[in-house]
This record gives sequence, structure tokens and C-alpha cells, in this order.
Amino acid sequence: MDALTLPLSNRLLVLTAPHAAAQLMLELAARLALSGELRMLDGGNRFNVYPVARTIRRYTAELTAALARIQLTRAFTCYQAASMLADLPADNRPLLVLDLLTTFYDQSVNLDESRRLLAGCIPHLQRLSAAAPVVVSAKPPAPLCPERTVLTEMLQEAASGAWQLEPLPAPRMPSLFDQEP
Amino acid sequence: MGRTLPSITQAFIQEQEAFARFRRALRRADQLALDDLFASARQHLSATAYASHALPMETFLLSMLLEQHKEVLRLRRELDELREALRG
Repeated sequence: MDALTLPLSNRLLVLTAPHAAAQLMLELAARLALSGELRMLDGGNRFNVYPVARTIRRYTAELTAALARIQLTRAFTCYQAASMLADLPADNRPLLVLDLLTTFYDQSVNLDESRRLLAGCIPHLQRLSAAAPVVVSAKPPAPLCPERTVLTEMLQEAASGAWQLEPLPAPRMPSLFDQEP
Repeated sequence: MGRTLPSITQAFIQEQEAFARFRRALRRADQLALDDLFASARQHLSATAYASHALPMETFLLSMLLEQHKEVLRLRRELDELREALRG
């Protein structure tokens, strides 16, 4: 996780976590927006401006200027996500891809098609990461469609750094009287 | 396609929930006063939505102040009326 400390290097980093590590990604977006422009591609409709604004406000009073440095695009289908990545020019602005795989897990798109589209996206992510840092977050597929795990693996294999974050176990409420064995 | 931004009511509920631990640590009388403050902010949700502020909590706080100031003005007017009545 040290690779996620700022400034980021020009690499393709992949985070796999429940809720696509949205909170962490929004925090990262806010921190990057303090120092310069960045691009965000939201594949799971998870971008929420309120926490981003709160984080920026902790560091600067120029909230509007910092928010204006975030260029956000949303993809609602995997075809849109693939097309948006293909159209992105490689420049020095960092790219954060939030919850990329949600649209690829869509059951109305068959697995072969999802794999084909994702295989087309990966070279574009690598192309963009040659010019600027690229951080991609994804969530694991739902337990009902375990065959889609292959998509997560494809993405992780293509990355130069990949992390899988596990949810913390729920805290156990201590009982009033410890039970004797 | 769904919403791209939480509604102002959702944002209000989230902000209120963020203070749940603070509320829990207050005395009962203070809890009721805090609930009144949030209730007064809730009265201005439509104006808050229209304001589209990036930090809605600031607008919620201003809504609370607005209601407090209205109350101060009302009490000041009543006090003036009482003074007038006593003089007369």
C-alpha cells in the first residue's frame, strides 16, 4: 500500500476491495485535486462529491478551484467504459478508475463478451499508465456469479501493483460475564 | 441510470447520523435541544437543495442559526410589547 502515498508514480495500480474501496479512492481523489488536475472514470456510480469536498476543505479554503480540477466521467455499461478508456488521451494527469468492473459483471452481457471488452481495456490502461499514474479499483463479483472472478484476475495480472483488501471482522461485543470453559 | 449525487435528504440523514455518538454522550435535556436544532435545519431542506453547496453541513448550520435568530426576534418583539404594556 506504500505505492498509494503521494506523489504517485507512473504505474498501473489495482485495488480490489468490498465497495471497490470507494472511500479510499475518494480520499485519494481529494488529495490529488489539492495539487493538480486529475481524471476520474466512475464505472459503478460511486463518486460522491460530498466526502471529497469535506476532505479538500480540511486542507484549503479554495474548495471550488480544487473541485474544478477533477474531471469526472461516468460509464453505465461496459461498452461505455471500454469506449471511454480508448478515447482518453495519454497525458500527465493522474487517472483514477473507480469500480471499473461493476459494468463488466452485468449478467446481461455474457462472460466471453465481458472478457473481450476487458482485454481491450487493459492495453489502454497500460498506455495511460506510461504517461501518468493510473489507480483502478474494483470489487469482487457477487457470490452468485463466481465465474466472473476471472475478470478480477485479468485486471490484477495486468497491474504493476495489486492489492486485495479484506473487510475487517465485526467487533465482538464483550459479554458481561466471561463464560467459564 | 440512478442518481449521481445523494439527495439533500440523504445528505441530511448522513450528517445527522455522523453526530450520533455526540448525541449519545449528551444529557437527555441536551439531546432534545440537539434534536430541535436538526429539526429546524430540516425545515429548510428545499432551500438547501436549491443552494447546491458542496458542503451541505454549512447550509444546515446556517438553517439552524436562521431559526434561532427568528426565535430571538420573536422573543425581542414580545419583550418590547410587554414593556409597552407595563408603561401604559
